[in-house]
Amino acid sequence: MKPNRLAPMAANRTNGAEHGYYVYAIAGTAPRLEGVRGVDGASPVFAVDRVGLSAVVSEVPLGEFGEEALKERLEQLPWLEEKVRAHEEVLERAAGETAILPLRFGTIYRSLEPVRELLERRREALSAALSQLNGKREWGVTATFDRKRLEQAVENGDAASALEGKSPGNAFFTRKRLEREREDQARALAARLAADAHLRLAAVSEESLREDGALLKGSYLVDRAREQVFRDALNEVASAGDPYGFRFELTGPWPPYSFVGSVTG
Amino acid sequence: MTSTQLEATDNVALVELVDRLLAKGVVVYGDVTIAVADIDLIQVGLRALLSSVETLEREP
Repeated sequence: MKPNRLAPMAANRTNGAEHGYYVYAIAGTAPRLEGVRGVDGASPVFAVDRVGLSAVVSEVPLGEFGEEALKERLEQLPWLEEKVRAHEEVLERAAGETAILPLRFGTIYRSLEPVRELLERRREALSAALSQLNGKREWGVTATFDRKRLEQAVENGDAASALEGKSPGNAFFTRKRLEREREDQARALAARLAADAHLRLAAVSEESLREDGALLKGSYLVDRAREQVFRDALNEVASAGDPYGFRFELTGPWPPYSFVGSVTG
Repeated sequence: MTSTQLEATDNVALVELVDRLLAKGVVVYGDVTIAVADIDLIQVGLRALLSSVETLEREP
């Protein structure tokens, strides 16, 4: 542990002079991290080793990252943006070297010994998870659609004939009914296209996760050797969706955030 | 933050990052300084805030 640079003997846990340890990830073999800076923008990132596992760590001032301080700052968007991007940058550097288990943003310990104890106590589960994730990366896919184009695609061609010979009042209600039917059809078609796309992508992934509440917001754990197959599948579903105004967005590669769970320290 | 760091993360939308970094990843219970449940609560409010901010930014 480094000497405290700022102040002596701080007793208060949120005192700006005290330091904690921000843990980014756990890796099977120590990644090389020369020149990588932590979320505070200054402290070097280093590996803490125990029982053949490494925790990727950097020092952080508790004045900024202590419990109370962190709660306040999480609500400040510019601060949050800087820190999540810095956190992600550290993970990307580490993931470029070896398989990693990404930890939740803001995992901070007051000293390094509990971090070593965690590695030791949970060695089996951590090692098993790491070997399962080895050689795989996470990709994100979201879909959006252009409602006008989708509704045009389902437009029933016989609308004109359905209105023919009707009184103005009747024609009005018929037109309303046709509009409603078209919207329902468009919604059903959008849901079906999104479900098909997810199934197609999941079929070429090791694991997949589709979130509720969005048309398509999926995470896919893909073997590196199958990334081209995954991209081909995505191009396929994109072409299939294009006539209906569907647009797909791919993000990644991500560390496998969506495919790890909880660890009891 | 420098622009080179932005490029390294492909400048993905903040909301994509927050969805993963604050809502996913290994959660360690135990000796950590901040209760994980607190972050979960913050994340719920933040997600809504970010969505509205990014929607505004995308409008011409």
